[in-house]
Order: sequence, then C-alpha cells, then structure tokens
Amino acid sequence: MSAVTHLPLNARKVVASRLLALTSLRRQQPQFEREDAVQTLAGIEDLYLRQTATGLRSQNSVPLDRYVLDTFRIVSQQVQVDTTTQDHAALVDSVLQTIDAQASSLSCSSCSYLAPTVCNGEYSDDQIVERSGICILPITNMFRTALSSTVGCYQNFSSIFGSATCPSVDFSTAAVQKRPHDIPVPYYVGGVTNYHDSAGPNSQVCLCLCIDEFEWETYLAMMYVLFHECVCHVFQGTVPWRGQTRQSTNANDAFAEGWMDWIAQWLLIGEADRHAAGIEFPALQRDTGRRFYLARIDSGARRPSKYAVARIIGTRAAEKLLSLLGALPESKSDHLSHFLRLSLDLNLSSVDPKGREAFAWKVDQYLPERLPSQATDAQVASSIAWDENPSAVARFADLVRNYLQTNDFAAFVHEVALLPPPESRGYTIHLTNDL
Amino acid sequence: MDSLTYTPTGVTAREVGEKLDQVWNELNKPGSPLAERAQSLQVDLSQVKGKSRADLVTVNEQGSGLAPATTAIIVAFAPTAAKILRDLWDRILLPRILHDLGSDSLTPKKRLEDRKSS
Repeated sequence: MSAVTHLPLNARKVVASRLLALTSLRRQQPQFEREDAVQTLAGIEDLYLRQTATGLRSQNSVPLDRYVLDTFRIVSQQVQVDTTTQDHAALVDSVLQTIDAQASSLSCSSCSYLAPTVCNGEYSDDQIVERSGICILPITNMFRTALSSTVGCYQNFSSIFGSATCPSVDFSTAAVQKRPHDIPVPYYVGGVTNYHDSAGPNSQVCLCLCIDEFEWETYLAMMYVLFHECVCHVFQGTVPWRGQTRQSTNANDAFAEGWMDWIAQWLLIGEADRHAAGIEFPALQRDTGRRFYLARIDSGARRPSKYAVARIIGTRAAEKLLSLLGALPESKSDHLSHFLRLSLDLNLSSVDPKGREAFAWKVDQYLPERLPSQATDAQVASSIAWDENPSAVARFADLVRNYLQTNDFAAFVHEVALLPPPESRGYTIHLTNDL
Repeated sequence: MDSLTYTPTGVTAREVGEKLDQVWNELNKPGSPLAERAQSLQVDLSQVKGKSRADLVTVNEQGSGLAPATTAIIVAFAPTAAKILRDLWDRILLPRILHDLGSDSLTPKKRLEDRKSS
C-alpha cells in the first residue's frame, strides 16, 4: 500500500473556498432567476473566483480556515460597494450570509488530529487531510457516492462479485499545472487509478485538479471522472485474486476506456435521474458528465483526443452487443442485465487486459452498427435480416446464445477470440464517431 | 557537478528553489514527520543537517525567452556528496516538489545519450 497524498495547502485554500462559495451561490440560483438577477449572481461569482485565486500565494503560516474567512470578508465588502447588486440587496445579503456562515463552520483545529497543530504546508498535512479533511469533504463525499453506486452496480449485476477479493480502496487528490487530459472540453479535472497490491489488492483513485482553473464546470465534471475511475478501474482484475500486482490498462484500451466507460456514464445518468444521495446537482452533473463522455469519443472535434478512436471502438462494441442482446429472444426481455453481467464479470476477471481489449475489437468487427428495427423474432433468431454480414453475425449470435445458457463468460471470450476475421461484405471497421 | 535537467510546466526556477528551501528546513526540524519519513526510507540525511541548501543543491534556469519549451531547469548537486544528494532528491525532495507544485510541474529532459540508445 502506498501513502495517500492530497492537494497541498495552497491548492486546498483555493479549492475549499471555491467549493463553499460556488455551491452556495448555485443553490440560490433559482431565487436569482426569479428576480431576473442572473447577471448579479454571475458578478458575485466572478468576485469570489478572483479573490480566491490568492490562495495559491497565501503564506503557509495562515491556516486554511482563517484564509477562507478573510477572503470572504473581502468579497463581502466588494459586493456591498458594487452598485449592480443594490436592486437585489435582500437576496444578495442572504446569500452572502449563508456563505459566511458556512465559512465560519470550517475549523482547522477541529479537523486536525494533531491540534493545536493544523495544516501548515508540511509533510503531515496529508495525514491530517486523510484522517478528516473537512476542507475537501464535498469532493471526498463525491468519491464515496461514486464508489458506493459502483459497488451496488457490481452487486446487482455481476455473477462473480460476491466471490471477489474486494480491493481496499483509497482516495487521493493531486494538483497539476495543466489540464490533465487531451479531451476537448473545458473541464480541468482528470483521474487515475493506481494499484498497490503488494499486501493484497489495493486501488488508489487519484483526482487530479488544475487549481488555477477550478471553477463551476470543473466541479460539475468531477462526478463523472470519479464514476469512470470506480466503474472502469477500481475492481478490475481481482477475480480470482492471484496475489500479483495488477497491470494498469493503457489509455488506448478499447475495453477499459470505451466499453466500460459506457457503463460508467450509464450508471451516473441513472443515479442522477433517481436523485441518489450525494449527487447534489443531479441534472447538471449528469449533463456535464455526458458532455465529457461524448467529448472523449468525438473524433470529429477540431482537436480530438489522441485516444478517441480506441474509445470509439470499445463504446461502439458495447452498444452493438447490447443491441444484439436486445434482439435475441433469449435475452431481449432483460438485455441490459445480461449485458451488464457479462461486462462487469469480464472487467473483474484477472485475464490479461489484452484479452479484454481483443474481445471488444472482435465484437466491433463482427456485429453490425444497428439491427433492423422491424425484424421479427424468427428473423433475428436466424439472423437473415442482418444484411451487412449475416453469416458472421449468425456465428457470433450462436456464441452469445451459448453464453446465455452457460454463463461461462471466460469460454465465451475465448471462443470470440478464436473467431477468424469476418469476411467483409461492405462492412468494415468504421473509425469515425457516429454513436 | 552532477546535474539533472527538467522541462518546467507553470513553474520557475525561483519557485522550485523556494519550495526546495521549505522542504530542506522541514528536514532540518528535529522530529519532523518528513525527517522521520526519510529515516524510515533509509535516506541519508547527513548532508542536510545544519547545512545550507544553496551550497549543496542549486536550481537554475537554462535559456530564456518567450517560449517555455526553450527553457529548462537545471538541478545540480555538490560533487562532494553527489550520490547521497541525488538519492535524497529522487526519494524525498522531488516527490515533495511535484506534490506541492503540481505532478506535471517538472518533466525530466532526456539526455542526448539516452535519446541515442532508445
């Protein structure tokens, strides 16, 4: 197991103050809209963003709680003298008071297990944050939500999760200078999951934030990043546990980064739509997550991610198999459950990551983009309606049927791997994004 | 002098030097958690105790100009204790600098001989 590290003190001064201010302001957004004062709200938010940027230059001798109080006091004074807020004085006062009250409740000495010593920029800060860390609690809670939703999903749908040697899971945070990904979205957050398996399986999820650019949109995007890390990576390769350090998957792994990411965004949407606890701004976090997800596979963007094509292959393969399961009489009544069971079991299995990836590529090669919507069960069963490459699809469908009967995903994946390349009848691998 | 070259992202040699001073002072504090950590990793702190950082590890910018790609940060170690200092840098100082200034703030530059062999 590796020591858990967190954002340095200066970065946490920026992040903690912005978390408090931005979420408080956005909670009041409906009132501002009712008073036709959205511009006023935007102006106040801008003042908070400007003033909290000073956190990066704040002395380590200034405790975080003191910094937040002082900073918010300055913003309050700036707002009071701003003439544009006077038409909505009562509403503005109310929101400032709410923010100040929240800032007052932040106490470093209550948080620190070393009190009266509190975070001061030294090595022990990481341990204080790891044990309590009220300054980044909203982020930690987001991680807990993502992890708990993921565990629920694996428990509900996987057939082998119950027998898994569950990894211990740590959450860490890190600062970066530049946007930690090449995806064409203005979200300055990324994630990485590292395995420290020397004393049993341990997954350490790290949320990476570009502090200068930490604003509302990035806050909203964090939930999707955490769902991705938890669904795609945390439990990967743990069944059966072989006592060896797991291999991390590559950024261009079609199964881990495409196929499984489809499930991550599906789960986030479902959890947001049912207003699951811990997702405070469900519609906004869902929509931002969806934009992030789509941008990852947008090969038509002016500057697409260099890994977009691999993700497209995986995403498209997942959708194709789901579509096939929705068409086969044996699985159509509950095709999503069958799809999730296979995907999660395969992700959990300790097969070589290359085997999972090869499976995704083969599914994408064998199955057509879309199944005909008017196909009868008989047509689907015999595959005669699939005009792109009926014999290949029929062959693949037979393997799927066999899997549905046996639930032996390892044999299924092995048999799929042994399939020869399908004969092309105008059906080729499409490298464009048309999802 | 034994030296290492880094491409900086969003940081200057001065900021790296200031951070290095802060960590150096922390290592010099008796019983500090960082000093304990170094000892648990069996890192030799004999060259740190009571000594000036600037005499042993220097941080300088190489080149200057508008384009950051043309600049580099050179970290050099006093030849009298280069091996010990290099170990200290790799295991304690650099990880801490990356933690505090950003994990992407310093990227090692490949030396010419490394490039030839790869």
